[in-house]
Order: sequence, then structure tokens, then C-alpha cells
Amino acid sequence: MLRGVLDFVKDLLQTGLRVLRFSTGTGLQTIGRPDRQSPVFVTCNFDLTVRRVRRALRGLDCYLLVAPTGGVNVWCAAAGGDFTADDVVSVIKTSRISELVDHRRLILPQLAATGVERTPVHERTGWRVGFGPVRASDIKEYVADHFKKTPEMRRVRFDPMERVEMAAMWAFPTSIVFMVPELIFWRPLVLPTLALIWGLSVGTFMAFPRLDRMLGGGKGAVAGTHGSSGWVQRLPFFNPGFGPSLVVFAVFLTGLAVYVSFEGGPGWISLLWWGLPGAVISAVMSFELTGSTPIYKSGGHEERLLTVQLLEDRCSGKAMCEQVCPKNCYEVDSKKHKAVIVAGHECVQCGACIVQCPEDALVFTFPDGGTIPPEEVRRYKLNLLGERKKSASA
Amino acid sequence: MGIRLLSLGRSERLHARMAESVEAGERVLDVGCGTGSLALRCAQKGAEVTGIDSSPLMLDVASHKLAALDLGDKVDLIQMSAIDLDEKFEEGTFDVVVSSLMFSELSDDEQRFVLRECYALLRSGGRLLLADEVEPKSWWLRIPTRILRLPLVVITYILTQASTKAVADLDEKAADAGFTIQSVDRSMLGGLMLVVGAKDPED
Repeated sequence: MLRGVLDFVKDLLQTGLRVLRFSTGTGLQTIGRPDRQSPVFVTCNFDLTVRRVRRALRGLDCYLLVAPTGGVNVWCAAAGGDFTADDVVSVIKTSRISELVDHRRLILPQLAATGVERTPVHERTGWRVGFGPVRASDIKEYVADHFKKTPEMRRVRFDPMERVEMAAMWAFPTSIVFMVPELIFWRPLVLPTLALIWGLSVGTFMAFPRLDRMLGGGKGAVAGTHGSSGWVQRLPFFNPGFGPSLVVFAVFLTGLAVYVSFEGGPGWISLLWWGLPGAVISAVMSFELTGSTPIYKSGGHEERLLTVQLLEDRCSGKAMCEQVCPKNCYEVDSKKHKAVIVAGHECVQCGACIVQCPEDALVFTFPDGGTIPPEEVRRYKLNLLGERKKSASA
Repeated sequence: MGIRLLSLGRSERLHARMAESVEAGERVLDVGCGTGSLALRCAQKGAEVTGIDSSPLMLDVASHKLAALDLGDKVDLIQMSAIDLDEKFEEGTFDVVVSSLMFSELSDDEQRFVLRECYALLRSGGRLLLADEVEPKSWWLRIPTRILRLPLVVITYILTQASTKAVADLDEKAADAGFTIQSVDRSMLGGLMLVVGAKDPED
């Protein structure tokens, strides 16, 4: 009971502060009563994730390896170089899992595919890496269905609940920063500020998909697959991410104006008073956080302009791209043994397909025709600003 | 660079001290050599050094540094993760294993695993020189250390997006891996620890 309450508090705190690292112990965990044939799953050592995965695995008999990813969640760690083949090899060796089971098959979360290369893990340890569903909650169904993934299990949906979590990650620390001085000097402002911060961030995140369509497509427009609206996205003002928060901001201002007109009194001054910080908050939010959602990336970095190009003569339809793409951009023509990009406009530039393609048949392409070859995508990961780091950081 | 900034030059002094006991002709393994400042000092003493690090970028810097001092042939640089030591070298290959400010990058399990590997790679009677950041023992030293460290951590993080963390029970972990602990030194405020261990001559 106490443990349950404690876990719940930790869940809330770590959701609100998920920009920070929360490490938990790495190594082997036993779920149920595994035997020598039981499946072996791998996850990151972000405390919140480990708790969630354990909950999702309840009822199965299996092993869970917690890899050392520096307390960062799976997708961020994989994209940022904290979750690589080295970390998987490390947990295989330190946990001595090889002594506990007869098979040599690891199941990693699909979103690890952008960081963890399969070949080095196999060469160094004899273990074969497979990528399971995106969400831990799909694992039971995946196991029951003989380790087959449905397209739905492969897709990052960015559900309303997940969007609220992202909003909380922005709003929670911001609230703390504002609350401290306000509680001391300016108590009447506490409630309105909280409403402002939470209202704007939840509003922006909830509105993403709708606004995306309204503003003429998200990053897909940049990729050129939507054609006409492509150029709009390059203007910083209509930058995807900035646009939606402008709309949310407008809704907020309208609401404010209505409120003020009911209140009577010195209306326009208070409109300005709340309008300015509101504008600042929505601008900061659009620049800061849009980069971390699967729908938008802020215009601050070049990754957003990349498209994935398929070099058809190299492709022999091994379908790894189809297995790891979180947006189901690929289909494989089983007669011709070729992959086809069927939904390029959905691409979020995670690079998983490029990293995993066994034939190096995929590359990132810039609008000007320049390319980033697979070796580079595998070797250099993204930093906090979403840039590929190529200089030493000691 | 980040590490040097964080330790305010202490890392240089530490390396000088660690290299003191290294003798000419000894085979030295530097686990996590980084940009090679400790490996370089050992090589200057006439040792045959093997430096491993998982970062190709750091090793590039190290090889430039060594080449500039004409020590390129005294130091063998290998890009590999410390966790793979068991695959790359024969047991009993080295006289000395040194490692400075690297264990804090590893998880608890990894630290123990790598220490066992180091033990295996040393010849009987070989030595371990292990230095890293630790938490000061007493709380009244812990608080001022943290406060002093905070601005440095922030600056380092902004400049290099890297940071370090303290290792818990460094000396105990070395003892658990089989080493006979010969000395444990802490820096004045207790933030750095140098552990000297030995492999049993009969082992």
C-alpha cells in the first residue's frame, strides 16, 4: 500500500520533471518465474520507464535487462547516444543472462532502434537483437501472437494522454520557477499564473494534430510531399510549432478579453499585463518543446529539413525499415523484394530506418541535394539542440 | 576540458602523482584514457602504455597530443569500451592498470565488472591505481563540496553538455574484485579518491 502511494508520487514527480535524468539500478530483473526458454526484454534505466515496463510485464514469466542509459528514457537516449550497442553489450555481460537462458534472442523496445545497432551486439556477444513494440503495454499481445508486431504496435501515436504528459513536463518546472517568488511577494498572482502556464501548455499540446492539419501539414510539408505549402514552413513566423502556439495564444487572448470585458474596470491595462507574459510563454514553449514531439521539431536546427531517400538498387526488401519506423512510412513489396516509402510526409527524422538498414540503402537528404550517409547517422548522435555532434565533448 | 575545469586543475596533479610509481619498461593499461593526459605521463616515465577509450573523438585528441611529444610509438590507443576488456587482452598481460575519472561514467554493475576484468588482466603482484570523484564521507564536508561544485557543474554542462558524478564505495568495490587495498587517499575536501590496490602474488 505504502509502496503503491510512493510509486504514484514518484510517477508524478518524474513525469513533471522528465527533462531531468532519473537513474535506477541497471542489470537483471526477474518477472514471474522465468525458465531457460523465457523471453529476455531490454529497457533503459529511466526510473519511470522501468516501473512502467515492470507493470506492463506483470503476469508474464520473463527476464528484464535494464541497460545503463544514464537515466534517460528509451527514445531520447537512443537518439542522443546514451543507448547504443555498447550499453546492450554491457548489460548482457554484467547481468550474466547468458548463463540463465538457452536461447540468444533479446527483445528491445522499438524506439531503441535509432541508437542500438544489431550487428555489433551479435558479433560481440552472440545475442540477436529484435525490436518489439513501441509501447510496453503491447508486449503481452506481442508475446501471445508469437512475437509478431502489428502495424499499430509499431506506430508512435502521441495520444492525448501522452500529449498531456509532454505539457506537464513543460508546465511543471515553469510553475515552480514562477511560484517561488510569487508566494513570497505576490500571492494574488499565484492562481492566475498557474492557470496561464498550464492552460497554454496543455492547450498547445492538445491542439497539435488539429492545428497541424489546419496550418497545411507539419514537417511533411517541408519534405515536399505536400507540395504547395512547403515554402510557408521555412518562414520562421509560420514555423510549424510556432504557428500552433500562436493560435493557442490567440484563443487565450480572446478568452482574456472576454473575461476583462465582464470584469469591467481598467480592462486594457490588465489585457496587456497578462498578454505579454502569455506571448513570451507561448513563444518559449514553441521553441523549446516542439522539437521533442513526434509531430513537430523547432526550426532551430537543420534536421527538420531532412528527408529519407531510398536507394532502390541497394534494397533487397529485408524490411528492417518497416519493422522500426515509428510512423509506418514503409511498406515492402514482397514480390519485387523492394521497400517502398508510402508515407514520407509522416517522417519524424528519427533515423532508425537508416541505422538499421542491413544494406545501407537509406540516406538522409538535404533540400539542396546533400546527403548524410548511414555511417554518419550511426556514429554521431543528436545533442540537446537536435544537432549531430561531431566535436569532442570531454 | 570539462573534467579539468570541474576539478580546477586537480586532475593534472592527480595524474602526476599516479604516474610517479610507474617504472620504465612496465606494461601499463589505461582504462578510459580520454585525451591521454595520464597515458602520456606514464609513457614519459618509459612505460609501454595501452590506452583504451570508447570515444573516437577523445582518442583523436590523444593521438595528436602524443604525436606532438613524439611519444606516438610508446602508447597504443584502442577504441573500445571498458566492458570488452575480457575479449581483447590475455589474462596477466599488464604490470599496472591505471584509470582516472572514468569509473564515474559507468553504472554500478559495470564498475564491479570492469574491476574484476582489471584484476584478471594484471599479472600476479600487479598494481591498480584508481582515481575518481567520490562523495565526501561526512555530511559536513558533503554540503560545502556540493555548493562549491554547483557553479562549476553548471558552467561545464553549458560548455560541453557533459558532467560527472561521484562513485560510491570505490575502495570497497576494488576490494570486492579481489584487490588487496594498499592505500586510499582523499583530497583535502574529500572530493577525489585515489585507491592503490595489488593483485596477490600467488593469485
